[in-house]
Amino acid sequence: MVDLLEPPGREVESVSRLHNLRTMALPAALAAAVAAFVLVSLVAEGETPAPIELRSPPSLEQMQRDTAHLPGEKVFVIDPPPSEPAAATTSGPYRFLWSGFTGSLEVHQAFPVPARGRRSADPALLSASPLYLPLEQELPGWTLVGVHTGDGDSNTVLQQVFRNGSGDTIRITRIYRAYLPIDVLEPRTGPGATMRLERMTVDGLPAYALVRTPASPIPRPWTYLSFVDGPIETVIDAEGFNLEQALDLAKRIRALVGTAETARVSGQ
Amino acid sequence: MISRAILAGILAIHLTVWSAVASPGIALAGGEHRVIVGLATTCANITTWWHGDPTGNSSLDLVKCSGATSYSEVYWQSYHYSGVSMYLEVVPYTGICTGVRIRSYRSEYPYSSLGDYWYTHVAPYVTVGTSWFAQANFGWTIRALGFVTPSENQNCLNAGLWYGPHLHQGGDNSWWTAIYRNTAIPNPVNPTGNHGANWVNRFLW
Repeated sequence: MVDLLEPPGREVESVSRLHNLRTMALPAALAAAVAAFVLVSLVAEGETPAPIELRSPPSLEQMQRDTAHLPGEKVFVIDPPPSEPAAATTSGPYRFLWSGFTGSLEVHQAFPVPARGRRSADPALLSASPLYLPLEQELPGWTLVGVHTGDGDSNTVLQQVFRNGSGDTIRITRIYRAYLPIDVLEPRTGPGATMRLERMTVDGLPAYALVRTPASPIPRPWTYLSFVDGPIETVIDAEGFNLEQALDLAKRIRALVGTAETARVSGQ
Repeated sequence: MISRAILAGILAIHLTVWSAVASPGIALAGGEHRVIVGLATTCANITTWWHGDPTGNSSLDLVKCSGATSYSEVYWQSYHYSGVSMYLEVVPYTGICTGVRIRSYRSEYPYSSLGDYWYTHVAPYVTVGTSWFAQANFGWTIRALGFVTPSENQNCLNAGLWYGPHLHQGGDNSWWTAIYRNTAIPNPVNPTGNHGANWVNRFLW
């Protein structure tokens, strides 16, 4: 990562300038060290910080004020209020949040916190990740075009990206979640809804899927399927796949997980 | 009638070729939309230059130049530059932090995906399946997405990915997407009138 606030390396500095810099840098470094210590201590002790809180969106008047500096015509896109009373329901590892839900999203530690991994997009390095699975053979006709750690690291997030000749993309993500539940935003319901959520199981594991409805202006199939096995959530985000195809792939991934675990045990 | 139709056809072909040659920025049957900093502010500091997966340089970290970034509203703010509209759909934020992920599509045949765009460390107002069109009106399309969280969830903290309230904004700039970065974006950036220079990403197809 490159930090723009870091000045470029200086070749020559006067003694007084260096002294000033050191005088300024020392307290800053101490403050940063204290802040890092506090953060690390907080994490190490497993204390939960203030939970994420969901709120209501701003009014049109506030949106207009916030964007008054933008010249030219503006179109403000606003949803009508949700038709159902907003609620949250927990089911297994998931917490389903209805559209319009406001409130705190408390979590609890359900599994050990993994050691820090590495942020990477290197296939060779990431093939050693505990989240890695050799998925290429499960997707004939698709080409692996990328593997990366998303917004996590090699011990918490691993995403493999595949493309086919039609320009469709499949993203398969495995996420280690020490803290549960997993929050799931429910799509709106009703005749205009463009997405539909289905709760289900995959080989007896808790799962849910999102699929397009006929109301969507995109006339192409797409399925988002999540299932959870212990601390690991597996997500199939597949353009060009219907639900049946996604479920079939999920079952093959499940079989692959079993094979990989057997190999790890026998290799010990 | 026949000769008029032929003449019209020749004229259409001529105009098509002329447009493509003379104005390469205007892609026929395509479009260009530019996205500015999502924070509700007229001045934002870039605290971390282009970084983050999937390409290693996909996103910027941003805070307000003055005042608290925590609880700041975060908007989709796109400016139509040329061509047709773009369809946008909120999909699940697949990761360990909190945020909003938006998938972009061509609004015409073949309706293919143009790439994913994200606003991370943001508590969402919008639910999955929320969709809208980025207008093709040479103006702005504005949508409230969420607000900058004052804290992050524990899974995100454990991975050391959060160091205080800020907006992590960017998109998938892999070779197969239509999302491009502004590598000449000034710092601080004024997400104001000059949309020609102060944009963060553009969707160009």
